[in-house]
Amino acid sequence: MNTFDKKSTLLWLLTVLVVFLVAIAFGLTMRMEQAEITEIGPLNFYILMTSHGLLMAGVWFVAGMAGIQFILSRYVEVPRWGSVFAYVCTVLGVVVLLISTLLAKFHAGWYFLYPLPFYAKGTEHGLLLFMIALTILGVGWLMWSLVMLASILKKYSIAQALAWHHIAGKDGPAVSPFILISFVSLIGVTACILAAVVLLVLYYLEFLQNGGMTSDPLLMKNLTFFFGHTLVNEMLYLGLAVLYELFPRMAGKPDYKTSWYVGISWNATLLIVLFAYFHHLYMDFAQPVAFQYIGQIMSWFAPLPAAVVTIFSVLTTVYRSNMKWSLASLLYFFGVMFWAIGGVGAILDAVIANNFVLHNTQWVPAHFHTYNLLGNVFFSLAFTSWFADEIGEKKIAPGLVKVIFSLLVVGGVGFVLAFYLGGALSVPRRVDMYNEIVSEGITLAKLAVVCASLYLVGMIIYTIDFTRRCAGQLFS
Amino acid sequence: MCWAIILLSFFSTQQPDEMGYLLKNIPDVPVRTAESSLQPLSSWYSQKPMILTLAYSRCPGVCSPYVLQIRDQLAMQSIAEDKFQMVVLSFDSTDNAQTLSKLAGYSKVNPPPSNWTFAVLPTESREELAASLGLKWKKLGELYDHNSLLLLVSTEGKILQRVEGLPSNDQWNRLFREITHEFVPVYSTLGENIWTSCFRYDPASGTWRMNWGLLLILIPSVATVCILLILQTIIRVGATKKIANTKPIISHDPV
Ligand code: HEM
Ligand SMILES: [Cu+2]
Repeated sequence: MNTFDKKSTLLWLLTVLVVFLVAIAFGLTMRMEQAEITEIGPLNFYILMTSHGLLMAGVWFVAGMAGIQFILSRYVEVPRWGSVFAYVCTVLGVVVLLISTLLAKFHAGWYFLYPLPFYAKGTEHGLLLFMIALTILGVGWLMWSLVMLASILKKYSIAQALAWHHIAGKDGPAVSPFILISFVSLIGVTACILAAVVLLVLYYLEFLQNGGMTSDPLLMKNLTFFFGHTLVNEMLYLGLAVLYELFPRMAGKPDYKTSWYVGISWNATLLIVLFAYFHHLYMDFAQPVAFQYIGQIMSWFAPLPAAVVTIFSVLTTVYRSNMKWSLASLLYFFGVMFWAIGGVGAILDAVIANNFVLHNTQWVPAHFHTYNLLGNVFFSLAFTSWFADEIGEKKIAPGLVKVIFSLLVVGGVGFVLAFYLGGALSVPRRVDMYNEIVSEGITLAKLAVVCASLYLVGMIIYTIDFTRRCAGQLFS
Repeated sequence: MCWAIILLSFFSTQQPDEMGYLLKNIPDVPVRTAESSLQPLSSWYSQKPMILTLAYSRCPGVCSPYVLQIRDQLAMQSIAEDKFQMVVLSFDSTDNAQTLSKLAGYSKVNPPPSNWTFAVLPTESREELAASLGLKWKKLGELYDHNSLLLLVSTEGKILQRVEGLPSNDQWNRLFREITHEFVPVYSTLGENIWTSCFRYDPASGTWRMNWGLLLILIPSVATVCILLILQTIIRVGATKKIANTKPIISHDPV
């Protein structure tokens, strides 16, 4: 392993862990406000909500990218500047983002749904700073994913990287599932960042013309969710790509091969993910009806290929294996299971008839926190743990594995459970205080505060241990 | 050419300005009723939604058929009388409740339903109310030239619906659904400065047409495909150049 790959990955992971702790603290404070333990007021609540959402989406996206970069450099030569450039942009972007929210008080939510940002009260330069932050992040991440796509294309053609020859049963270079999934995900990442580019351009135009030009809210909402939904989906797949590479080895089994069904399922995923976002517009009656049906069908099919194949592969890998259950393999295995549970929650919500009831209730944060907090985060933490085992001088204490894992699972499950129950009881999302009609929300928020604190403690221990074992390598 | 004409026709359509009035508060002006006392308009809308129309009884033109049409439409509905208030307001100070009632085809033997009110707007309040409702009127000798308006006003005094001229069946439906508290979706007619609009409204046919703003949704995907193809081409070209530049070409060597 060359030192650049090692050090840059280490730096990415340390940064991710630190920002994660900050973002959890923001989330915990929101829950405390909803539990009526603190009294920070609505403006501060929405400032935290905006920061929390974007930090979380961003941080786990770059964690996935760092994992991809690390494994990918075992296959092909990946230019270093992509990662360095993305790192600088990410740090800078996060700083500007925090200035825009914490200082300039921008608070229109992480996907800043048009035209809300233009009406936000109590913030002067918030919107402009927020747009600048997004621009910096977008440029950095777009370049990074293009650099990696180009690296893959140096070794494989587009058709090969998409494993079309495996699907057709023709000859050609063996393309591992890792390459296939990375390629598919990076394409999706590029598309959704480009959607953000179009969106931002329209925002800038309106901003600069000071109301002289306005945009169609329907178009803006389509672009927003093309960006937001797709990004959140793809970042999970980035984690999966690494899982396909590492998990079989952890179980002492042969590497996964790209069979025809793996090929088909990820090619299908590539297309389906780009259309599933329509389910965010079910309540937008102006959206062409055909889009609603496409959204419904694609949302049903979205999880099928990727999830079914992955769950099947993971289960057969574990079955009759010599798996030595390390923190990494535990996190991978349970991450896949929680991902599946969150997926079911998501599909329930994406059924149009159910969406009439569940729309904008806490069911929504319930399902996406399940496959993020307990799915995607677990995938990236599994990679992080595996990485620490590879490069760290010291081993993790077995007792600590149990403590960390239990805190994350118990805390995480309890935390999302409070959201699910809230959703079932029609507690609305994105509300800082609950009135008497949904006073159950307050009790549930208290439960969530306890559980999220457990999760936070688990992450603090994890981060300290990771730093203790690996941080020295940064300066070696 | 064809496309140019179609595109041009998108941009030349006239937008009705019904949207501009929506959710705006109407002024709570005093009006005169049968009892000839002045009463604020809010006495009718503060309890339940109010359907408001403006007319005057000496009108030689549209007022009479307009009010009669409203009467018939309301009579055909099974919405209970206590669900809403109907107010016919005259902007002609020579009017009174009796003349207006006659305009609506009611008489002593055929009295209006209990939720109907006929009232006259005092001259002082005319400008203010007309401006907020978008009532255009002009005095022509003894008579008035004016547009016909039907409005639905919420209990907070906000304009929920506004129709110029005779409402279409669709517009009646929306109005009745609003009264019975059903969800009535509204997609706002976008101004001419919104070149990215997904739809265009055609007032002539009352229908919506897709506009090219919708195509912008395709940009990210199309651009991604283009970028991939370009990347692949650049890399291929770069690779063949490299091979061409490396010296020994084995096939020329005699074995
Ligand atoms: C223990 C950790 C976490 C805590 C305590 C937490 C807490 C919260 C809370 C209280 C909300 C607002 C819920 C509402 O609408 O009522 C929220 C929203 C959100 N969270 Fe988390 N969260 C955590 C982890 C995560 C993770 C891991 C992610 C993503 C990777 C994430 C992404 C988001 C997003 C995108 C929103 C929506 C923000 C918006 O509506 O604009 N959170 N979170
Ligand atoms: Cu979505």
